[in-house]
Amino acid sequence: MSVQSYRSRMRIALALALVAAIAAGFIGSRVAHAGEPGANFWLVYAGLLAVAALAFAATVPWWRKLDDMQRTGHLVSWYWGGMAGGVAVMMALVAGTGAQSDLSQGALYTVLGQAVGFLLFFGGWRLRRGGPAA
Amino acid sequence: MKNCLRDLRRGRGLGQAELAEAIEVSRQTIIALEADKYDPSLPMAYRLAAFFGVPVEELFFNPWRESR
Repeated sequence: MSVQSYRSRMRIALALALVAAIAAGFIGSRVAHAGEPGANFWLVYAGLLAVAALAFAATVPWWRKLDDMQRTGHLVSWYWGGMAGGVAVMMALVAGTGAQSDLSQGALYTVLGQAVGFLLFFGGWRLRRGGPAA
Repeated sequence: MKNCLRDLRRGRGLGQAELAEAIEVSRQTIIALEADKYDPSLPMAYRLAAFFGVPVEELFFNPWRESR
């Protein structure tokens, strides 16, 4: 059995994550176009969620191999950079198409979803770190 | 956090990439630690200290202890 270097294992894990993300894009596109928009909502939604879940799962080996500095870098960048990028695009959509446009509403729902996901994960994170008081 | 990681590493004749490989972190992490641009987690500090066979405070200087 060959022992791979840390760097090699990181590259393989990253490649797996990238391939899974690209594959999820292709498969998700096929699922999304399986029928008329809105028809079979739950079926299509479940299919898309399953594809996204598999893509997420494929990133787990990469995430677990990150050292704490790299992981902190991703968390900080995603929090500040991800939020700033999302808000900048949403504001551009509102300014360009109006607050009530489909594009603006879609962006708003995305941000709401991110906020809910954040709160759920943060709550779970806090709960897992609880301990006996005194 | 000030430290003597670079000195210990050089004392062992290791490059940054070699040390990174040995303790399974990225080379960028070693560079940041040596440049005092990143404070390691406790597990990483212990891992580095164990690798060099020194107590953690001999590797990463405790500024609060020094100030007393």
